[in-house]
Amino acid sequence: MSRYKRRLERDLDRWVADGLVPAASKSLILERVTDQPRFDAATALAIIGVVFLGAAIIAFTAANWDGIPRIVRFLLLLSAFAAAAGGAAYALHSKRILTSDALLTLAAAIFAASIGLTGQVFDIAGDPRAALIGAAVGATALGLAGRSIGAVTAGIVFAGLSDVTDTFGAGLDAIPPTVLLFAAIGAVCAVRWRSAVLYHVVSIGGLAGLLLWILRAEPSAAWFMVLAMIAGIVAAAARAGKEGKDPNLSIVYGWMVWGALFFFMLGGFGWSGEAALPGLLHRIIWLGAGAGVIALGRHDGHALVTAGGVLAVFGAMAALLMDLGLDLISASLVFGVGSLIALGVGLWLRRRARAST
Amino acid sequence: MTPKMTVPAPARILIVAGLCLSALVGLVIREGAARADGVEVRLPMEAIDPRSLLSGHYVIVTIQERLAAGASCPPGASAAWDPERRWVAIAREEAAAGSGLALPRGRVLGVATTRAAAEALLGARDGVRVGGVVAGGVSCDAEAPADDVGRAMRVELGVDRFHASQTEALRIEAVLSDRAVGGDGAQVWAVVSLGRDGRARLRGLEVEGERIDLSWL
Repeated sequence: MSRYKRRLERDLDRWVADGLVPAASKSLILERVTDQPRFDAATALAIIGVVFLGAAIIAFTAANWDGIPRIVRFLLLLSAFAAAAGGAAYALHSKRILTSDALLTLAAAIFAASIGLTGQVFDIAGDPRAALIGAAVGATALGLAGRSIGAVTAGIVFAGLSDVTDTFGAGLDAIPPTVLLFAAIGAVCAVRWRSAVLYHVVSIGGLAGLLLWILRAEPSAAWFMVLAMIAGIVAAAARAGKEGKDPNLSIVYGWMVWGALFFFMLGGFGWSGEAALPGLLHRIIWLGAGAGVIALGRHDGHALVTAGGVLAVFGAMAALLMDLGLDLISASLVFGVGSLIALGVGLWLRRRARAST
Repeated sequence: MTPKMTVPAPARILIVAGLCLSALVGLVIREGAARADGVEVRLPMEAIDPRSLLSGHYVIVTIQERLAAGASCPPGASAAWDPERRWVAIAREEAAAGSGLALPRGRVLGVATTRAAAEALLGARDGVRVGGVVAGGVSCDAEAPADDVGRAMRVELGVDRFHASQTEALRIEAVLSDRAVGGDGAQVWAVVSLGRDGRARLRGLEVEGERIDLSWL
């Protein structure tokens, strides 16, 4: 039984005793509360144990012992992978969802390590990028087969690593980073499985993929501004949608606000020799956007959005002071005007709130 | 309405796991066949012996040699290291009688931007192509050294490490530390298979005349 359900049961006992709720309604209310698998301390320790076991198998195989023939080491890898995948299938068959997810994640990690270690054991020279994409394909396929959030996450991480391994390789500027494709698959899984973890991973993976794409092609301040606008539009759409059918859109809203502010920051620097906006104007808009985002985050009760705003304000202030150097009169003018605007808007909001009550 | 046919999730996991295992086994078999099928040559090498926590002991293979004094660089070789992959033509030269070496030596003939151009460099002897063309690059000193030694030439064929036991790795390191830059007097050689698919694969090392082969056992 989940912690929430236990608390609700206690509250219902009290409310029934106080005569607030009919006794017959208690069981009906409790039936409406679905029992999600619990991610408690024991589960966390079990997952850590599984991860350690995977690392132990990989290190043992990689130890390259004189006494273990290559073929035995290879069979050891295959057996470890088969055991993890077989265990996951059995756990799913026994309705042990979290165990199955953990074992599939382990199987994805062992498969990734197996590609590298098979190359090592048999001295197969290859493209590290292709090896990581192969690992991503394997992890995603396992994730889709067993509905494993961890394995799909591993697929996105391996795809991201493949992009970072050879970010600026020949001909790569013409194609989007691989992580975008795997993030798109992850997005479909996130929506269908209603997984908050995947919403986080997909949002971060998507933003990282867009950043890599621009860096590979011709990075320019104008392109970063375009990306900031796209992220801002997605954030606004997710904010509007989070009150509807899918509350997890709140996660996308938070990360897209971070993305918009981050891309706006990058757009203020002279990529390819030219900035999109004059330096001082960019910093002032950045500062204002940060303050606005803090207010928005507080209004929506969204900690991630508020944190993004706080970071933006600190970043903009630091950049402004760097730009102005020792011109403290100009700095005091900018911060003074900013302070007046912030106080003025705050007062206006407070009065409006009082008037409405 | 006909019921929808679905494969249960546990069975799906087992199917995907089976495909992953087949892919790994297929990779090993395909690489083994390609390695056995290629043209085998010896190339002089430099090496150091690093160790890493998850990779065990290995020898970094750097195919490098000192050309004969006065000899010029092979055509197409770059003066500095160039990451752009090109095609390297390597001839297979039979070992001289009495040299004590059984395996033919690989000699870099030149580098070209296309495979066809590299094939032309390789040519044919008595109608038989002797050697191979593989993807890679060659860098060679543009300026001849002032003293009476030849230019240093480095060949990059994508063959970069040889996993060995700790004992072997340390022995190779000791042998290499006792000698100068490779050449015909080299004591450690990389035994490379020049594949028909244009890839070079390491078959083993030859250390002081003793062959250490990669094998399944």
